[in-house]
Amino acid sequence: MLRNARNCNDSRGGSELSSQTITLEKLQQREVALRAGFVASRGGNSVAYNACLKTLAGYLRAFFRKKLQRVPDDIEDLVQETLIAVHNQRHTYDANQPFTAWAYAIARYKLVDRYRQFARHDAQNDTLDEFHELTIGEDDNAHEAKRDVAKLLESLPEKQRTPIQLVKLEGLSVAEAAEKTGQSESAIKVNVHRGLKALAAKLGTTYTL
Amino acid sequence: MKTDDLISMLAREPASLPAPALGAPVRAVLALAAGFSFAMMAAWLGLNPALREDLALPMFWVKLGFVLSLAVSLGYALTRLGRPGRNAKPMFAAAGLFALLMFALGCFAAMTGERDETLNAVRGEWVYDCPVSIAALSIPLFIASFWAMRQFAPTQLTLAGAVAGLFSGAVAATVYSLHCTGYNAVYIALWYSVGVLIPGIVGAALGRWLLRW
Repeated sequence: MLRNARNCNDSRGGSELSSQTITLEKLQQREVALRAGFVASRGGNSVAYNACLKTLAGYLRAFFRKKLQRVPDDIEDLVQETLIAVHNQRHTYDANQPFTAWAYAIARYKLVDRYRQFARHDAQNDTLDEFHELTIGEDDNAHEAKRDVAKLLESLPEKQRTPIQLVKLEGLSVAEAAEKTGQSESAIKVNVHRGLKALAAKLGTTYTL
Repeated sequence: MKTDDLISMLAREPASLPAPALGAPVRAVLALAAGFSFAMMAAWLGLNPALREDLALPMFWVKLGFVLSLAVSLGYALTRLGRPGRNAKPMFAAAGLFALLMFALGCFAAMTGERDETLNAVRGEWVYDCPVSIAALSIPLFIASFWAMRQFAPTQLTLAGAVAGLFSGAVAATVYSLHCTGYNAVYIALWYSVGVLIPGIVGAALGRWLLRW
């Protein structure tokens, strides 16, 4: 549910942390802004709360990216887990206490919790390291094969390419493919047949149905 | 789910936005557990029949002060440990100081008192009742403090578990002191501390499992 690893580089907080030029002043500004938003949320101000969480998400992303360089996929998971925890545990925030300290303590807890899960998982499962050499070659081959098919298909006209893709590669029935493309069922059959024939000709082999 | 979507989902939850006031129910549950512990003591061990006369003894107040101050400082430490980013060190320092004072008093009593009396306080047949009873009386308090901790967000689970255990031990020791008739400082410093430490050790071992959130 919580997977979205791709939008990591869009936050202000990220660039701020990674350039490592945060001054004490900036930290204080950050604290004041976040705290104001979080405290306002207690009065039911969901706009301020939304803005506060968004800013916090940026800082958290930077924090986790710094700590978890080995497993970048987990960063966004942890950001979201921490945001949920911040939300669920907001009654434990005492308005006299620095907000940043509170939020980062939660972030650190979630990080440690994740490390523990790793440790437990590693203890119960053999690592794949020993098989690495065996699997890596196979993986590469599959990759290239797919690319070749894609290249060949691209050389076909659109009305043949799409039916082949749907019926032969994605495994749809002729009827389903007809519905998707808007072609009639018999047109699908004919186009698949002609397309494969054309491909076979390109590869220098004969195509038999 | 995208993080931004998650954020707007969380921010849209207006009904639960004001922080729920947890202090009162937590205090009520802890008080209930203390009452239960007292009832266990009264039913199984019995109140000290000479309690009224013993109130005149300075050592009665030293004993009560020792365990009560432990309970209060550890209770404060708990409220801090439940809040992420809060520092509980001053409360640990306070609890450590009270324990140290009691130990100093015990050492002083051992050096100045009669040798037989001291030996009797350390390993007389009656002394083992103390830690065992305190550990038993701490069970309802132990459950209540762990429940209370789970209403909050402790980030150091082993430490929070240990302090929750020590707190329930200290309150149980307070309850036990209303039954106990031993007033030797060596006995109090040694066996009351052991009694408090037993739930503390159990709590430290269980914290990681029971307090995770």
